[in-house]
Amino acid sequence: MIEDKLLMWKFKRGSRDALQRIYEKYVGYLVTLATALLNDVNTAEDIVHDFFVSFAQSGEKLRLDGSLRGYLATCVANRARDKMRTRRRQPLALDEANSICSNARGSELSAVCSEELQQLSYAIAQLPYEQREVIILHLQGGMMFSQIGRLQGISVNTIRSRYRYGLDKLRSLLNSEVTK
Amino acid sequence: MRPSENISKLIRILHVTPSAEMYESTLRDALEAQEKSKKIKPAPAQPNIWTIIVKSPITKLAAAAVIIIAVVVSINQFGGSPDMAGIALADVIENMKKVPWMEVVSTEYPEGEEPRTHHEWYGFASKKTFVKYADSVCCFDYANRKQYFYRFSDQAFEVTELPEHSFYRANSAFSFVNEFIQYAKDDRFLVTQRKDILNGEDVKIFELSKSFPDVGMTTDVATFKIELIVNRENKLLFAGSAKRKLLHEGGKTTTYNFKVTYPESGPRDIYALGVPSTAQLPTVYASDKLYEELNEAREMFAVGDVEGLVTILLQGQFEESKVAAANYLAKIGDLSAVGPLEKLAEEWQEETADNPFAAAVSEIRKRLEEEDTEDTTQITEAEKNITCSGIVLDPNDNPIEGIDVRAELYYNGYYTDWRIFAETTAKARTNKSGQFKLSMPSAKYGMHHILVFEHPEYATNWYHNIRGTRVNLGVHMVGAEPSFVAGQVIDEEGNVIEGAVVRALVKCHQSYPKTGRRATLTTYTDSEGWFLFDKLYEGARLHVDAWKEGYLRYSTESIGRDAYPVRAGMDYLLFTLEPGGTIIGHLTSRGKPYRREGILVVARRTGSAASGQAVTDKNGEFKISGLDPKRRYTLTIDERFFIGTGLICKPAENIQVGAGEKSKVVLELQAGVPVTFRIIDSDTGQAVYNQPFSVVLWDPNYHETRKPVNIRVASGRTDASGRSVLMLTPNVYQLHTSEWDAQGESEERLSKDFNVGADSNEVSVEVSITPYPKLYGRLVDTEGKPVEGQVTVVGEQAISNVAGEFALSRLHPTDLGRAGYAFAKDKRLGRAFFCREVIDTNQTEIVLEPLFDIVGRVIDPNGEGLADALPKVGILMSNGRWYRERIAWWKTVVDKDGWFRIKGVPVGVPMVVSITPPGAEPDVILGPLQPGEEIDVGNIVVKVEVLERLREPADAEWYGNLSGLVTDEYGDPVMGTLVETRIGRRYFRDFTDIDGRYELTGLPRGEKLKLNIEHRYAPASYDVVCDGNDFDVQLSPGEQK
Repeated sequence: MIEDKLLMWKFKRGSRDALQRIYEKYVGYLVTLATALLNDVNTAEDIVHDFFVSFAQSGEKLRLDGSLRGYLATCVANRARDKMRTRRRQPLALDEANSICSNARGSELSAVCSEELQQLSYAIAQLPYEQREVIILHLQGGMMFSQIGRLQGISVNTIRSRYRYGLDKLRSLLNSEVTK
Repeated sequence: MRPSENISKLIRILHVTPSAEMYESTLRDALEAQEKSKKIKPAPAQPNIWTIIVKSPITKLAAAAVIIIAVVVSINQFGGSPDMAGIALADVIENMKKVPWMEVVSTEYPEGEEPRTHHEWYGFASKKTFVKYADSVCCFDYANRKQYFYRFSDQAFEVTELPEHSFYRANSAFSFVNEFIQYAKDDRFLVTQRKDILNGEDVKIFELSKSFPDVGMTTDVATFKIELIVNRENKLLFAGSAKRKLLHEGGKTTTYNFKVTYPESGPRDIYALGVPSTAQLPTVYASDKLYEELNEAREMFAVGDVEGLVTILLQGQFEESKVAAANYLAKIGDLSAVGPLEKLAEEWQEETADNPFAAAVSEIRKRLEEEDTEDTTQITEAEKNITCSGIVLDPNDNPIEGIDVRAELYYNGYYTDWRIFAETTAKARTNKSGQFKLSMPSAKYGMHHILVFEHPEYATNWYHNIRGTRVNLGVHMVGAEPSFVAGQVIDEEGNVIEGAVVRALVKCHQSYPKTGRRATLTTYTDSEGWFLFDKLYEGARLHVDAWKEGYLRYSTESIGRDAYPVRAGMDYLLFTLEPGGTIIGHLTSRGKPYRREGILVVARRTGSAASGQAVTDKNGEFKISGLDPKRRYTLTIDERFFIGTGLICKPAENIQVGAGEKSKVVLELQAGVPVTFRIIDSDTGQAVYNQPFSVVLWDPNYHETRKPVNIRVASGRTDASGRSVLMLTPNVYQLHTSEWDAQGESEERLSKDFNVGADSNEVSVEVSITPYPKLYGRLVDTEGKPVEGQVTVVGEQAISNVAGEFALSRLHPTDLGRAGYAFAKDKRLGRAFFCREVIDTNQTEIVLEPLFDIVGRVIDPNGEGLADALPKVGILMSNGRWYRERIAWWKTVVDKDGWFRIKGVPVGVPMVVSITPPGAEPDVILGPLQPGEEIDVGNIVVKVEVLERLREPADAEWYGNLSGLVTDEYGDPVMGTLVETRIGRRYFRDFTDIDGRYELTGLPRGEKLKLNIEHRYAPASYDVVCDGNDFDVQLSPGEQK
């Protein structure tokens, strides 16, 4: 994208306006992405906040080969994954194995979604994280399988199969919901 | 819709709006963080611990274990992690602190390499660390700040002080841990634990992992994972593994496995690790200062600071640092270092063979020679080569390294912009000093070279004027900071337009006079409507057009007289395209579709030139878009598309198009009515042949009917019988042709209106005119045989056929009385003649005879030969005056003693030989000449006053300089302005530098000169005397002195 190229050019030279424009342009996208990954708006907002603060400091050091959007999505997905691991492993100590699924705030997305979407987001929340990440990054984040593969350090074929299994599972989850 | 059926679509439309509070606070924090990071600059002052861990050669010694200890020791300080895993680990750490020694055997498995095993001892109480490798031993004594190193293979034994540098500022491994904690506090490691049984023992496995989220921002490490296996009884670490994956180098992974034991005591010193006791400790300790100096030299080398290295060479305190600087300089290969190096080489006291400075000098010389040969790619070996060399500097006069210089060969075009690329003939790259050199074969006739300078970070630059065989370019203006122009194209409703063509006509800033050529750039808008022209010069000016099918073309409007209103650096231009009308249609003939491809349909605004055009497809359909909805259009097809078919197209008139709408039109083809045209010579009454004419639509009552008139529908040329037949649709027409009037100017003649009726079979139109003078005849040789060649009278030219016949049909009446020339094809025969009358019978014969040469000598009044005065041939007229041809058919050569030869002069008319500048005494008049002879005109004496103008001052007098300051009307210095003066045939020129200063050297001292200054206001010239004083100029708009 030409605008992104321009914005990066200016941002690297310390432009305040460029940072603001990057923020305005992508904050919604990143919060959506992080929320979909973590199924929790508050944590998602925290992650995006932390990310933007560290991004703002990176300035000159930043080396960007691909697209800005892909880069931002990668960074937020990484942070979300770290977060997710902390959360997943806490239950081991705190003995709350079911917390994510049973979380009453599990459908934060629903605040802005229709009932259909509510069902969907609930179903997404029940997916294993690996599958969820692939589905969200591919469909919501618009990233290619090869990009996701590079991000997670696994082969494209694995990513593809995770995507397929994830979709199948989503479908079966939703079908069972509907028939209930 | 069931959600399960459309999952992908649903996920795509998921959207979460961040809360207003979060939105504001994040933006505020990010902007603050940005401000802060600007203040903390420069970045190198903040060592990045991860980079150090991975890259530092010293940490490689103990990479695995040190990091593990750092993690282990510091884990309880990770911001007081409340989770159970963290608490459990804290116990382990407490226990480990109680032991005096820790022994680690670790194996490193770098991907794609052989595994390496190290043996390490950590003395917590004695503050010593020992590392044993296969071939070497290392000891860090943190209490005494010393570092010991012994290599078994060559018995190298070194003792150095632990340097005051980067993280070693902390003078022990344990304070290094603290630094690590500072970093790690911000980004927590993830700690988990699990129970397991290993070799029959109950163990706990702690897993510490971290992936680095902000790719490329802070570290080269992508993921880092450590597993620590702890004995559940004594809570001591006894084994573990670490895995590190790099971001770069293809995600290279390194694994460490280690096993830990806790002995009561460890090695006392380095001899305990197998170093032979005979190995003597070196007594000389490298001091901190030497280390600093060496380090400084290394850093200078890293940034290519030649000057700094030379300073170390000359003023350094230590021999070692001088030698290091010499070695670095040898690697850089800069010529400027040779002088100091040679000086040091001479002072060298020891063995000549060991002289490092002499070695560095020869290395530099060798490198420079290699650069010369390597960087220049000579494509073809030609007899005559052009050697281009020069220097490329940025606006601050710093040399730029790595500029790609390319010589491109072009065919000359009719206009400069029409040049056609032939090939790239040579390539080179500028070295560290910004210099380049390339050699290319000289361009053949009709071709020219252009040098292209390219670099990703600089605007592309071109150099056109390559003259002579050796060109030394002082092109000082290549590397400007790149600039760009960007913007968006939208429609009237503010929606972005994707795929619009955006074209920019670039005019570079006047400050770059040699590159001030136009260039056209074309791009397309992206899915967000953005376009970008990058790699422009700062100060480039642009005229931008944007268009897309269905829209009216947008062009930037001129501001005042400035047709290039867009300046480089403008980055948000907004172009709004208004919707245009579209005409779609097809051709029919006798009610059926006429399916023919490639017929050009032209839409004209009524009474104007073409505004749109389209070519029919194979179904005879066409589509013309981007028409202005406020106008009415007429569709026409040129009759030449129907030659031989007897068909013609009736123009469709008065077509109204609506904005964003499509108007349908059917173009009906009809059988035309043949109309015979005849043009008569009003004097003789005979038909005029080869006379062009055109037919236009006409309506005598067009004031009332408002019908479009004067639209050309057909054109033709009378044949040898003075006739021409055209097919026309029923309508009223007029014939237009031109004739020669009494003043010798062409004048339009109109026929009477003629009506072509639908039922008329044939129409005849006749017009009388006074035709142009003509010259018809034959070229023959002295034996009467026909000659192929050409005849030229002033601008008109005709070629004779094999029978020697030629026809010059449209001579200008004022050409009569001037000389004409006829030459045979092989340029051996020729004749000049006066074109006194119109000859239009084929009886005229021009007899060509052999050409002759004129020889002689130009001398000054003292009899000295003059090479500067050029003798030329003029034509003597009957009234005694003479003139020179603008383009001479003959060639003059002069040698340095003034002897000249004018080759290939035709017989036929009296001629004059005179010199330029005029002032010979006398001009030599040559009467009627005999063909084939060599004519010696003897000496031509140049007048004294002319001599003054020809002569240049003697060489000894050329030592004056002229310099000064050029400012604009506000008193600001003007950069890049050409300042030039000329003495005789020599030019002296300079461009003003960034401070507006110029300096012309080698001028004749005390001479009066005319100084010309090129500037955007107007070229100005000044009378100056070169007397050593500065001559400052203040330019003002419109000034001309």
